[in-house]
Amino acid sequence: MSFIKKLALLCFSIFLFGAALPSMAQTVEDSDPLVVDLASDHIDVTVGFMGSTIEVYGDRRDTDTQVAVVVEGPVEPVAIWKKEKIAGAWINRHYAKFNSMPLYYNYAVSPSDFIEKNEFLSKENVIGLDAVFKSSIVKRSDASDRLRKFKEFLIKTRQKKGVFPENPAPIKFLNGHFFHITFKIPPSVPTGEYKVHSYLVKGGRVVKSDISTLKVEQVGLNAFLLHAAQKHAFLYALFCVLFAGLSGWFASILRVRP
Amino acid sequence: MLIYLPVAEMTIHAETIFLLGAFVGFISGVFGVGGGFLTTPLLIFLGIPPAVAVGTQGSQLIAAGVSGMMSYWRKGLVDFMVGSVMLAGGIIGSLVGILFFKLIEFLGQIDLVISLLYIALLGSIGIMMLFESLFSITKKKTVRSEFNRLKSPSLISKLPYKMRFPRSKLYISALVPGGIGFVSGFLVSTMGVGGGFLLVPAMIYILGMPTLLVAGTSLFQIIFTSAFSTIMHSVTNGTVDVLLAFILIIGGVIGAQIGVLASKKVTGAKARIILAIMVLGVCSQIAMQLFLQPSSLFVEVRG
Repeated sequence: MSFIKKLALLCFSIFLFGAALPSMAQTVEDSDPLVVDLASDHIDVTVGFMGSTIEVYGDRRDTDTQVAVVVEGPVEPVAIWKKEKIAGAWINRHYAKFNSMPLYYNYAVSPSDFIEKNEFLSKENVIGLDAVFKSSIVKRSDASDRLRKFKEFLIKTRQKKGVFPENPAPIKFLNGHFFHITFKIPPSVPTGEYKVHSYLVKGGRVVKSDISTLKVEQVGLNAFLLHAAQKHAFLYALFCVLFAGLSGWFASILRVRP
Repeated sequence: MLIYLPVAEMTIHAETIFLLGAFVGFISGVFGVGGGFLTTPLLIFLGIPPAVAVGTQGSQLIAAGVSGMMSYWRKGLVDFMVGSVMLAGGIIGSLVGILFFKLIEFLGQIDLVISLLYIALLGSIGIMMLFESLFSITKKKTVRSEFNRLKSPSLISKLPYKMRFPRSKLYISALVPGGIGFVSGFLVSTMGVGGGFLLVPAMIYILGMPTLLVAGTSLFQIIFTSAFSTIMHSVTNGTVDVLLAFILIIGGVIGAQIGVLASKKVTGAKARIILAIMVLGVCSQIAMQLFLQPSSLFVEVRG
């Protein structure tokens, strides 16, 4: 690039910046009561994936408000079976099937007593661990068994895997307006589309709510293999079979030589 | 080194899988068995979903099978005709097995059925092998000679579709090798077990094949049945994890080399006693899980 072109570009960007400044100030003034954005709209899962974080940044205009952010992963049907002793063996007897259960769920609130102050939100299944059951149709083999126990087990096992929270994540306010939240993603993360819901509450009612999405995807070699396994299952398996056969053949050659 | 398995969608230590593969390879090198009966339960124990463990394990059987069969083939100890008839049965058996697998998965009883199949198979094989090897050590005489007297009972000779198998000098109904292959195919696709330790005695005692040809022929059959089962599992269930298979196979190939060297230092009967004890150990471990009160009464199943 010639010097003149560089100079022209510099002048142009100064002009743009200068023009943008007043209008930016204006947007802040007229802005939404709550603005939330993600540091990145995708998480790349590679072969050496060790876990990651979802970084959420937000800005609220009114400091006398409460904020909640909920992250919900892709949903999948799940069945919880309860074992019973039949003929001496412990056998899966009764089930509770949930047809749409998030594989990841986490939430952050401010202030820390947000849930107690806004019980209507947890009652409407907007926030809290009970909210994971909100969109599920439950099918059960025995209605007399307490459903609560099945739900508790489901939550407990997912908390152990690190895909459901023990406690809500903290919201860090850098000043009264600007905040930052870090949600932890464990190494064995389920892939798919994640939804980040944000809520601004004032006086017991939701003033503003917003939703952003991020994709958790396998990339590189992993993405290639998964794509092959799903879209070209026959060739993929054939490759696996050939690789296995060749390794076996190679091993037999090694054996003959000495 | 932690790695993320693309199909199992979970993180696991690559070293653990490699060591598991090497250990099973070592066992297969020493004893000349596929070792599926160890791999599948151990993979499930490591947290790999049972469906992925069974689907992926087949490819390891192929590697172990090919490396074993090659040496028999070089010596001309494979009866391809018997093997092909068994293979036809094996393909039907693995198709039935995959449908059966889907059915029990749907019924939520996959862990029960797999546990029961394992207990029945490993329990009976382990006990038979233990007695046979103890017997051969103390009496210096194998049970085989007594079994030989029992071979070809009248029922088998009455079966239709008789075929001539010149290499094995047999004139027998095709349903017999086909049926044996069927059982093997069923085991591969439901349990990830090649069933070599079931096939070999069946081929000797029921089919009456010359003992020399049995090992190579059963391996020939297991390779292709496993290949078919791997492809079917991939196409119908998408439960073959190539990265998992890759590490298992590499470990297995290395372990098998060491195993073959080690096998020269152990005599047949003693080796079979160790193998029998190992088979019974895995069997009782699975039985304990089924019959002792579990720490949690609840279990999560996909779907």
